[in-house]
Amino acid sequence: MRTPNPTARKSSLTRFQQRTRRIRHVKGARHLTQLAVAVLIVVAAVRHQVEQDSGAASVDALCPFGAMETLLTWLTSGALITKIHPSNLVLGLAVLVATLLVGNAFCGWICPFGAVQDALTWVRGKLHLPALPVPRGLDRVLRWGRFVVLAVILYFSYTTATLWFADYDPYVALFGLHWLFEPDNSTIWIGLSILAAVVAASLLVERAWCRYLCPLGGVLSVLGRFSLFRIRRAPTTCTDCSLCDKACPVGIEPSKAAPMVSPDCIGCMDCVTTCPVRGALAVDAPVLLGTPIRLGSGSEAEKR
Amino acid sequence: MKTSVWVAPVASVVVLFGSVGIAELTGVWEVSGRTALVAGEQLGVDDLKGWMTLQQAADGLGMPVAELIELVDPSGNAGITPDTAFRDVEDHVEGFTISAFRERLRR
Repeated sequence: MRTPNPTARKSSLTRFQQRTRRIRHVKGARHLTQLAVAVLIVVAAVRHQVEQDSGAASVDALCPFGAMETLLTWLTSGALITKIHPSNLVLGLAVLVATLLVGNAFCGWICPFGAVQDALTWVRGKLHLPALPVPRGLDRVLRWGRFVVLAVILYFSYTTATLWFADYDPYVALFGLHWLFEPDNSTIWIGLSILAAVVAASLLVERAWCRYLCPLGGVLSVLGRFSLFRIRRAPTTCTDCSLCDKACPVGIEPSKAAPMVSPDCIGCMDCVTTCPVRGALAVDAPVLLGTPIRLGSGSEAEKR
Repeated sequence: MKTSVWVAPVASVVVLFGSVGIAELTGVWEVSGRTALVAGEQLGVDDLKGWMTLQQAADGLGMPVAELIELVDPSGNAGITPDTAFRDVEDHVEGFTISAFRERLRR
């Protein structure tokens, strides 16, 4: 019996088919990873609620942003704020290292709240609801919201030495499962109300929370500027078809990158896989502060 | 130098879960402040944690639980019992925080 040759099968596909297959593979792997992490978090939350005396991890203890919330207190006193544990520091450090090495792929591939927003985009598509277009100027201003939220959280976390944001955090409101196990708890309603607003906004604007309010996203967008790997557009090869802009879930317009895409990129790779022109958009490395370090005569993207 | 689209996501997942694995192996991975309470062991004010019940705290501090409940809820209207954990007191007694309560006990 003849075994099929994968190389021969690939070459028999048209370029369009190859591209479609690549989009499907990368998207599939991404959504599978997001789902796996979300399931892990839900299982942890259920264990925390059901086995209250076991010391099982809460969703607060499994959030890398906890490291940011306790950072000032930790640096000034050596202590952690309430509900924050060494696990937060480990996760925070891991996300920081990963972002500096390969860029921010945490938001696009791992964050369970990002997965929820991707699911909402899928729901919007199924319901044939139109997306709300956000004018470019307003979009730029609203993106500063992440840093406002970040500053407020850092201030109150430090001055109260508590996990102040937990009562307002839509991620905790959803994944903490207090709404399921403690529906009588009056403190959950603030978080649930904010969650409802975020869900509504994310149905209108893709990944609205990530774009405009996520404090961890704000931190990672700053770190992303120093990343060794960045998605790079080759202006001489790019045909300005804008297919990458339509694919981008956070609306950063890779087609206008000059040459590195915005540090607001969440590393989903949808723009790279969608690009119909080979080499017009590619992950480039090594990059130093947004400038590609030439190895040899030029980058691969430019050679093509 | 063009690299594969898989590098960033795979590296991110590996670094994240690898860090958790290394932290677990080295004993750094702690997800809860909960520790086993030894009967009869004296607790300091700083040892009070949100997960502790008022009975556990009273036993550790060496004071009657009724006295501790009165300190926590002077009005007596919040329905606090010896089995109530400090973190649940925060939900029932307005303005109560464990850190502020530690300060009060210290004074």
